[in-house]
Amino acid sequence: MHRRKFLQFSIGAALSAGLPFRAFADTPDPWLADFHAALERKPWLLGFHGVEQSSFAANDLVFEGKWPEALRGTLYRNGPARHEVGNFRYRHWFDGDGLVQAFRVQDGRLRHRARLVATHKLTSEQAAGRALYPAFGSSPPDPEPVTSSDVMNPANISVLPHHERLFALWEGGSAHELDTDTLETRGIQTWSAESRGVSFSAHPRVEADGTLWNFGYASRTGLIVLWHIDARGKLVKTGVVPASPMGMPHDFLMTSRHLVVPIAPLHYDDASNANTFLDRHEWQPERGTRLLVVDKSDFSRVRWFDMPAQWIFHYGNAWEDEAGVIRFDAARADDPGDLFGWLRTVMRGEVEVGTAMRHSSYRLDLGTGQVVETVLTPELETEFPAVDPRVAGQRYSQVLVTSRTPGLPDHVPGFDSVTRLNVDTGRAESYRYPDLEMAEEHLYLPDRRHAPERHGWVLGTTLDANAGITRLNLFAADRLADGPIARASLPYAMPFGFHGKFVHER
Amino acid sequence: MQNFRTRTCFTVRIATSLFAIPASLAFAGLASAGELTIVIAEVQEPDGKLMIELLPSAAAMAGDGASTAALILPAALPLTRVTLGYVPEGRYAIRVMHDLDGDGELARNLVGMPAEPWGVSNDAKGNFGPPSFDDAAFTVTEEPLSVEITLNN
Repeated sequence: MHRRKFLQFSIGAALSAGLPFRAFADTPDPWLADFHAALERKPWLLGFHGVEQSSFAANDLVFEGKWPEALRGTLYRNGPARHEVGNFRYRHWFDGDGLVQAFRVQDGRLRHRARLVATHKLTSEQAAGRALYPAFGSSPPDPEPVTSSDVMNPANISVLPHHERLFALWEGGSAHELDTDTLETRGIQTWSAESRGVSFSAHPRVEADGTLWNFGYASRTGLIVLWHIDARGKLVKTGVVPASPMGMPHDFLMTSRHLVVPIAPLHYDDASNANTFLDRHEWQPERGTRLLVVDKSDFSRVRWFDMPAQWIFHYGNAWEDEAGVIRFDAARADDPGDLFGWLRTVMRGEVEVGTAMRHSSYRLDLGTGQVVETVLTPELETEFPAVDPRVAGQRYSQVLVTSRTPGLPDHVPGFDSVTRLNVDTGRAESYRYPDLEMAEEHLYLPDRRHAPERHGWVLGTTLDANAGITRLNLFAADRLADGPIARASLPYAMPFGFHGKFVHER
Repeated sequence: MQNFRTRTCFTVRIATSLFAIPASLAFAGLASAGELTIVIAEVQEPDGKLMIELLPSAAAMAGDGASTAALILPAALPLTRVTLGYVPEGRYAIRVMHDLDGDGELARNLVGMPAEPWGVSNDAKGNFGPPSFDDAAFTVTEEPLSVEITLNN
């Protein structure tokens, strides 16, 4: 596994993928043809194929092994799924319309539902029979103007169950509310008149008592937005902090006293005439990563800190001690090269996994401004960190990650294992799935009869690229290496998704 | 002169009379002029006033230069109509906002996007930003012209 040096990605990518595709209705899109040809030879591309139909249902699916009686509830997931619209195939994995899934265990059997989120984008494009709007990393032919973010909102990154409601999350615009049972779309969620349509990230942080904190960002105006919502779903306050140049912050940190929004130097340039939102960004590592630290009780109290530039999509958790030291963990890379590399080219059937991900723990001293990073997994690549929801923002020691073992060839993307890490000691325990059973995010499900981080389960989906189906896998959290204690197979493959949440039944 | 200043979009300077075309133009007979009717559609609220600007250039649209005419009208539902008698021939854009809260400014949301109804001529839509003068522009000649603008509510 080699590290790829990050060179001139934006020019190359813009030339190959960012230019608008001029086509007549009957001209085949070369990306579409190339992907389908590649899929015949490369089964590991199955997760990037996408769906055409709007909904899926499967009932009464049997578990191998035994699903514990004490564990009742629903796993919701979201991810980009409608990768082809009419004659056009999106040029980036992040672009397709969101497909929300619900895996519900009832009487020891699995019920599966999936439904595309009925956003403005989806409904107008289905009516028109073609892609109408620019996307994060694609520029379809003859696009309509984008008058507000929600016009192009694909609602495709994550889900948020909160106070008996369910939302599909993007990051550039609003959350969409869904019916918790049918997954039908109820509409755009507006928390207040002043915040209508404003960016609401896909990674809100929810405290054990249900209080919700989130951030958002506005690229053109260079603003970080902050949200404080109470446990009953009522907006308590918002805030804005000028931050120029803006980056592309995807996730953030919450402690008992502060919110921390790290902004890596993938900087937005409004004057850029690049054709996609992604290509209007330039990686400027010499400027370092800035950390915005905000007082939870008063969003006007902010401080800025600096650390060396690196690229992070996801943080596991964070906590703050009495001395004002914040400790957190992240799945990190040296640069965002993959955003412009295989995350694009995979849509054409080409994969060469480049930038290495590592899991690190960090220590930010609010008094001295010093930031210290410790790499926990020098050999193992990691992503999708998850912790016991009861330790959110509190002292913790365990993080769950999907992982990629060394030796997996560069032309096969994704993850092959699930790992539990101790962020203090670096001790790791893994389970590696069989060949070409490709792992998605795995969540930690607490066993509420026990204290946090002691006993629980691990739940995650895999795509078996050989069998062409998606599976749901349950582990005992402290015996990951033993393998799943229960698993069920869907009668179909779902596209690779991003994030989910488990809702315990009352 | 009254100044109605809004942060970036609407800077309206009007003379003491509602119609800011200098009276001298009407008598001089130098430039040709035409009658311009402005129709604002999808007016939804009876409260507040419609603030309309007739803009002669991109600079004026950006707040760097005066409008040719500026009007404040009570809202008539669902259409509000006004006719200007003598508009000098030339290329113009029209911008309208519905000042619901009566503060003379276009209200903005948390991140600076318009939060009161507004529209521009040609129903030009901005693309990742406000509409441009060129997208909104139309030409006034000696022939009477009617221009309809739909409010984005």
